[in-house]
Amino acid sequence: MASTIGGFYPGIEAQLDNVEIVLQSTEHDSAQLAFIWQVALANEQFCVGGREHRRALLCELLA
Amino acid sequence: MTFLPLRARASGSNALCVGDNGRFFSATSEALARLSSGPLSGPDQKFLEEEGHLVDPADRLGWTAHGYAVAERLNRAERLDYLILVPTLRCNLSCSYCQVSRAGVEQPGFDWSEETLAGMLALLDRLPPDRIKLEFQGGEPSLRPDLIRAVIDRAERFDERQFVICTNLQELSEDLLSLLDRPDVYVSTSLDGDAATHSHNRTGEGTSRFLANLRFVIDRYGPEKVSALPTIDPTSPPDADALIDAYEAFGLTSIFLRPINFQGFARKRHAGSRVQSKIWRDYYENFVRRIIARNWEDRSRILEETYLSICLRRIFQPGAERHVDLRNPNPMGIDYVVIDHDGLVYPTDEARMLSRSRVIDLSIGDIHGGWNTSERDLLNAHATNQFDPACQRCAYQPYCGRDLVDDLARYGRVDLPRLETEFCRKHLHLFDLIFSLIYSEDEAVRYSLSRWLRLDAVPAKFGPRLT
Repeated sequence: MASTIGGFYPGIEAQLDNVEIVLQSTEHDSAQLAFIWQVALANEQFCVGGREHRRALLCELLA
Repeated sequence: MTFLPLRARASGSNALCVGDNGRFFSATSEALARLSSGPLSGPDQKFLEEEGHLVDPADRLGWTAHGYAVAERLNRAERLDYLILVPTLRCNLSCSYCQVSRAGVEQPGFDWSEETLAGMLALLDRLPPDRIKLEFQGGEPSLRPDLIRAVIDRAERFDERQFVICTNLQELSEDLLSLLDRPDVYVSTSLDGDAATHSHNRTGEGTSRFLANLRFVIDRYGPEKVSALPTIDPTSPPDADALIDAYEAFGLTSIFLRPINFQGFARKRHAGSRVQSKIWRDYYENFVRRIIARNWEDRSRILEETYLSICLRRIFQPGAERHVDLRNPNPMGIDYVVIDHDGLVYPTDEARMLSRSRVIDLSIGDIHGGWNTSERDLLNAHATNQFDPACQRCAYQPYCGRDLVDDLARYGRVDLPRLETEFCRKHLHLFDLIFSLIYSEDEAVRYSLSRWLRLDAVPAKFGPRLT
């Protein structure tokens, strides 16, 4: 997820500091970066949670 | 109740949440936390149910409606009814960013042969008779009005017909005018801005002739007969208002703001066009805001940036748009094809350009042997954004598309991580801009949005909010 955040949000760079991921940007302040990270995490949860449903629906649509 | 899958994207201080059926809402940070980690409050559940994001597993109608809405987001390419025809590659202009590396006006061997024309007419005869759209491209197709006429005459049997002649309007011959007299024939041309800009980019000393011909055609047939689009050098774009003025002077209200396409001669002469810079995106955004302001100031007509309107309608009116550069899946060689000057068949006009530039041969067949070929199947195996890992995580996936040929043109491959492609960057920016407009409180913005969506009135809001 950290490796793609700069792609989804141009202007943000993610770096690994020991075990912590640090976001850097000249366009967003720290509060905005924290919110973007919260959204990215939620998106990842949505993605995992929706996988089975999507697979089933696609099979139904293609049947 | 079952919570249907969502995707989320930060949008200002809120999160945009989009379902697979394209229905969306804006959520505060607190609401997003409840959505992702629970528990949902009673009002949350009511909101999600009303907005079509929660369905009772026992509700078969609800499930079917959801499945239908998701399916509506998928393009169903049916049968061939749209052909781009290149009766000649010759052209009487020599623009630095010519996308097809046109041939000189006197060069032999770049027009349809008798056999190619016969093959084209035979193809038309085989198509079902309900509808057809034929777009004559070039080169400059008006150099061969006889070929255009032969094709149009043969297409008389179609119930719905639309013919578009893409011409630089340098010459208006009697032959061309008699074609334009038909109500089902339209003109597509280029207008890069004011006379000086257009002259610099394209027509040189022929500019006054082009402008006079454009005026003549519009006076004779009305502006609805003509569509025009500018090609913009993103390194030195014209003043937005000057460009809009140039279009309004001809009564043209739809402007497809298009940066130089990384094709043909432009690959060498405008190598910077491979990547769209922040300067271009800022210019584009400013252009859209100028249009919105001008629409609000003068409500006697409505200006639009064509591609923005297409994307907007993909959000609110799935299935209403058939723009072939933005659809998913985007199968090639099914419902539209390009027939080149030599009878070769290409899946898109850009594919023809790449082949002409000798970057890669993307022909999928020819007019005589057909194009149900392994080459076409190979392309179509990659023609969806459905299974790409980045697209699966992108809130804009239901609205977005796939453009293999654009990836090939820019990178020579189709497997670059999607987020690194210009197609993806462009559309992320574009949809970000559109959703900032959708959630704008500015009544001038809402007014333009409603008109671009062809609504009769201005809704109180365009997007729901979960707080």
